[in-house]
Amino acid sequence: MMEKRNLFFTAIEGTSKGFWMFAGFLFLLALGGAWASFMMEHEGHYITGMTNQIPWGLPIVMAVYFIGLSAGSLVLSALSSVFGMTEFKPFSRIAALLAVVLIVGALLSIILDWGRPERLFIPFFHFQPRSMFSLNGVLYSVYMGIGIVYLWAMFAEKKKLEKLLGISAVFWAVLVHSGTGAIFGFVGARELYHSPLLPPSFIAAALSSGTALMILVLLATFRYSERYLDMKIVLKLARYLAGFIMIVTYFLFVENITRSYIPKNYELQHFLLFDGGKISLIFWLGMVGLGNIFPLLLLLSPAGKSVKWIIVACVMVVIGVLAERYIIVIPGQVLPLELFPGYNITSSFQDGLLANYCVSTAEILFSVGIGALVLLIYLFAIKFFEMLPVTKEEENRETLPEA
Amino acid sequence: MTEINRRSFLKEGLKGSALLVGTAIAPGITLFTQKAEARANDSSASDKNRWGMVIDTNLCKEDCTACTSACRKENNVPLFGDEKIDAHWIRKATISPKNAPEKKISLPLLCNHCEHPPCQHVCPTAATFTRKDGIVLVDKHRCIGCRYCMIACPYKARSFVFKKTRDWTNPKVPIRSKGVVEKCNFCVHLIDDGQLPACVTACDREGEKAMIFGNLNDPNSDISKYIKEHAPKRIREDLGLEPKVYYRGI
Amino acid sequence: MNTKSGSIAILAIVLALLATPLLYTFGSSAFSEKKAGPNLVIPAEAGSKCVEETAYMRANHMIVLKNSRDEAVREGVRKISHSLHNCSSCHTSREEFCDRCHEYVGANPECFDCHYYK
Repeated sequence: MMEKRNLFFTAIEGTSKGFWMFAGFLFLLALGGAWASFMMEHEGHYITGMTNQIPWGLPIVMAVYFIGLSAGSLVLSALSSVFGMTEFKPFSRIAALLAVVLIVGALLSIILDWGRPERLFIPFFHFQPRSMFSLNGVLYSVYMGIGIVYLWAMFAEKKKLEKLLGISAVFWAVLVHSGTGAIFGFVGARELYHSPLLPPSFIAAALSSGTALMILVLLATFRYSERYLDMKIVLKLARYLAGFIMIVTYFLFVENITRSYIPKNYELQHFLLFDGGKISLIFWLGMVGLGNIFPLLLLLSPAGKSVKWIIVACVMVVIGVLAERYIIVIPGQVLPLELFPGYNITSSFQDGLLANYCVSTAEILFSVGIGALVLLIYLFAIKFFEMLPVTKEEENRETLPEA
Repeated sequence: MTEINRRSFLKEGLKGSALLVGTAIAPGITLFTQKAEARANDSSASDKNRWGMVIDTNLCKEDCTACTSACRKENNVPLFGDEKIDAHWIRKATISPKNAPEKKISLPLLCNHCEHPPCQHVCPTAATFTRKDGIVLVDKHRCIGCRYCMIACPYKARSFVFKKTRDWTNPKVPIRSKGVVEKCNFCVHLIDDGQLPACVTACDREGEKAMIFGNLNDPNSDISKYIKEHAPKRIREDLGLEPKVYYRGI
Repeated sequence: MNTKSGSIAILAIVLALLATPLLYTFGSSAFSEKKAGPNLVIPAEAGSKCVEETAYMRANHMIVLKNSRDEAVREGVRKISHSLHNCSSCHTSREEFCDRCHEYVGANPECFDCHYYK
């Protein structure tokens, strides 16, 4: 275990050709996102796959996903300062940084997806305590503020403040995620949204995806900046990850078994689980498979002790939780609203028909662009700020991950 | 009162004439008398009124689209020729019981102007609000286009403006710039002018006279009497939203 | 490139991006030619008066319109005298009255995106 006293932080040099090429690549992707966002604003949302049946598309999926990753990172960052787990100290700064840049990504996804993003400040002047969006506006902004001040406290070595902010960060991250779950959970009109389980299961998925992303970022950052990383940290995080995945699986199971049990939901669940085409595929392969079962089996098997397999499991979780967010946001809109239970309905507005959501190129560019921007900010933040621990050169290099 | 009188009355009403105030008997028409007393141009909407609508599905005919086309014309509701993004303020639907598929009921679906509107609850800017007289409106100057209301509305009453629209069929009513959400407003500009919503007028003139519009707060209004007599139902009453659009025969 | 020069380069790019509106204005013809104010066509009927004092309207018509807009939409107060429709009853040409000045000062009101002005 590293001694706390020996831990100094420094910025990466960021002068290599690889660094600038990677940054340039990300910049191009971000430019693509900016273009897509401009087109959505300038031409109108008809260039996306969204319709009057499916008003929320990929940008909202990505926003929810980013918020989850962010909350997970912040909780991990707080582990060392709040719970005294000093072995996690080396990554507490980058975890808090990730939390801040990811919430920026989430906010960008939401705001640029609005029909009128230039009216950004209107919600601030008309606070609506009953609207989850309005409340979340406050939750997210305060969350970002806490994240930034928390980072500063770590830099300024203000131990007491750091601990205090760490505690409030964990508390606030729980609020943020409950709020995000409530966006969907409080909608009474849609059977697939309306569930009191959504807020807690959002938190669980946030922790699992956040931990998985943290492991990946940690390994990549330390490897490419040629730093020594104690593999015990990774193994321990992987054990946490397995625990978090179990909680996610449990929530998923409870939610779906409850819905399936009730006869009025037979049709709906049958669609979601079997007849939904790509939705059922994403449900089983993406959410259940990649998000839960495969990585859990990997992590619990003897392979879970090797860094290589941990990386594979983490990639699975990061993709699987994205699939989970998709399953939360999209199927609830694809299924037609039940206006007249017990009746068949036809109309000129596609009542009673299953909607079809096809992600458009613009939306993909938009989402990838925001992801790239998040990484780009992260990259330059670790270049300009002292985010990473100094490790002695003489310490054994062979424990570096091979992957 | 004969048909001809009714029509000429409506025509007079549309001109804003107060000559025939107090002579109304037919459904919905008493509106004029109430309006004439209640509203001057510079007074605000009053909570004495609670506007509501009854639709008699026994009268509504499947092939009649008088209400929907009148609405499009009056409110500049855009048709882009792409069913995914076309806006609908009022739409005709045909429902048939699952156990008796040959029995068909035709009815128009529109914003139900709920007493507890979920669209208003979720709106982060109060762009959607309930006016004092119970009409749920979208302030398109304030709407940010987040589309949360479209998710929350159980009646699919809302449409998003996906594209720029550039023509007025009725220059008195604004068109929408892209990126905001729109829906039925009970033709609030006509109500404030002492007239009936365009769909009700059209249903009376060209359609089957299946729509009644009036003040739910007034126990003597035709709509209140009609509700008392026929006990019409509302869509998805189980959700507890207390809609103000009633349907007879569902 | 060392860190310092890299940071300066990034800072310069950010500043340049932020300064684009200023650069655009300084570069535009309206700025360099120092054009006189626009010649607005104002109704010449003798005794015709606007709903408020001319000087007040010149400075505050946007506030007047915004207030009457909010009152009309949210309260149902339809004060016809202060509506956009009523403007057009005297100032019949949007091009010659509204647009000229808006263009000159670079204002871009959204009113006409949706509202008809004959």
